[in-house]
Amino acid sequence: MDDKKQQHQESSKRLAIIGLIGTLLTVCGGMAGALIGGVTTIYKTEREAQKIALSAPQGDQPLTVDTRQIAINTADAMSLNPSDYLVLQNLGVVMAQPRPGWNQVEEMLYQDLFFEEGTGLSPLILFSTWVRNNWDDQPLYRIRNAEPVMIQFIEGSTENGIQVDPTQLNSDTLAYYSQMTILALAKDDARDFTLYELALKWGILHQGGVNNIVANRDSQYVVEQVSWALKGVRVEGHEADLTLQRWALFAEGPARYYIVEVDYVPAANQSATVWDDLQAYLDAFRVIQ
Amino acid sequence: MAEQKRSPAIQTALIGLIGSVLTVVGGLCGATVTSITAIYGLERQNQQIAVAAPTGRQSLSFDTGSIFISRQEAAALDPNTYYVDFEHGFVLHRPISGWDPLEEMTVEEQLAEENATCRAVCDQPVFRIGYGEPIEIDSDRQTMVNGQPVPSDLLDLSEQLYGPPPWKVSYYSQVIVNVFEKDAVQVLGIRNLPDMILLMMRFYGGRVNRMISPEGSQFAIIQGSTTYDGIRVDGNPATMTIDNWLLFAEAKSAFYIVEIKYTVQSGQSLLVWDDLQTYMEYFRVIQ
Repeated sequence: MDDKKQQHQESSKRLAIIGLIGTLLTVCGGMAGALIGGVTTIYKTEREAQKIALSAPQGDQPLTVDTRQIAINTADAMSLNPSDYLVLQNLGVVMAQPRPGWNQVEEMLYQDLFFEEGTGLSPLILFSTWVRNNWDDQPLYRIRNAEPVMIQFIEGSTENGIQVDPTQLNSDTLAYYSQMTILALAKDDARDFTLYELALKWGILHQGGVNNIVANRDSQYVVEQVSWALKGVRVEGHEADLTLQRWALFAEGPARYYIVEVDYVPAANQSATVWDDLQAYLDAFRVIQ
Repeated sequence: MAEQKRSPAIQTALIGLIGSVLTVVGGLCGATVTSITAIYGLERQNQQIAVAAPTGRQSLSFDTGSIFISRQEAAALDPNTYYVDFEHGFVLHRPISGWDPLEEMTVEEQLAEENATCRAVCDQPVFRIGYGEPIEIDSDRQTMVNGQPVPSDLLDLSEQLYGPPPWKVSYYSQVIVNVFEKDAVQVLGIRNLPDMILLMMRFYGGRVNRMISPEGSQFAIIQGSTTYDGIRVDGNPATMTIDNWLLFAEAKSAFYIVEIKYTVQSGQSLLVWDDLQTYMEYFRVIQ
């Protein structure tokens, strides 16, 4: 009788263990299924993220632009911390506040670019032959690194392969700044251009130095990356070859186009934060929709 | 004896266990198939690009996933339907019924048709398929292009080249394939696809309505249009719009530019548009 009872208990245990294994398998299967589903969702999200990273061919650090987060609504823009962000609601744009080691935000007009002396000029001026056109009073904001790299052009110096004649310059030594410049261009004053035409023209102005043009199909933006080589120049008294890196983001809001130009000037004794700061400035850029 | 012969309950449990295992395996397979299908669908969606002309005109679609094919795949194509050019590394649909025969010329000959002088890469090949009779338009100094007057220096140049206005210009619906060998275009400072795009767009006079150039891709698509106001067609005042779609592609040794030019003509068969779509759809670069 006891044997029979023991046998029955043994049998019940086996049954319970088998049932437990079945349950465990079902749980594992469910979790694996969820994992596969999760991976698929992550993949899908990543595909849609449209985060683009453009590095210069010679450089190891890419500058990234998360084009999904460029657009922001007014309420979100107004809730940003003013110590970190400068919200220019009338221009429909948000930019970063300068970090330590950078100059204050310069509020300028497009025409002011033409009157700068002693510095490497922004290629934005090449959109126009000279002042007195309808872009003159277009607002422009700039954050410049406080420490320029002084570059002296000497006989034999070249700029992207083209000979530079130092005697034709007002000064043979020019200050080159790592900087971010935002031109907020009223669409009414830029009727000759579509967003893509602005991007193409900026690229054409850099012909021979453009490494990448990115315009994804579902977004109203274009990003370009340019290398600009200065060879046979003098930096801090030493002859050197230097490659300036430039990125430009072209975006649009309801009333304005935005050209965001980021310049990076490499220098031997430069603070390592300059690069990170430029990335932070680009990350902070928003168009208020 | 009891150990050797399992009870029916255990047998039932084992069968149940096998059932559970099968359910789990089936579930996993189902999830995998669903995921693969979702990924495939997403990838295909990302490859299918429809680029419309503005104001609701025609939309041309591109299957960017099949622009590049291997030599084996190209060799397997039906030569009656496809023009497979191994020398220049591309495939084009042969002229459809009603279209002119495929013309092969050089850049120099192409420019000469527009009374322009070729100064570089003149021997590079051009392939063209046109449709029917061209539209001949008469333009003059009052003609507006994209809502803007033509700059006076260009008008003066036209007068020097073509004599006093009106100037007669012909427009076809057509597909044009330009092949630029990388070695040949180095003289123009072209190192990469962005250089090629920028050089071509430097001379493009129309509006650029759309540009698609995905990160890391070997192609770019541009949609543009040119509207002429104040012209005359068959002696009557008219406005005409020409839509362009440009596909730029880069292979190992050459750049390719496929241009579709389309203009609506009165009395023209709607099939013309479908045919242009076919030419673009079946263009391939042989890798």
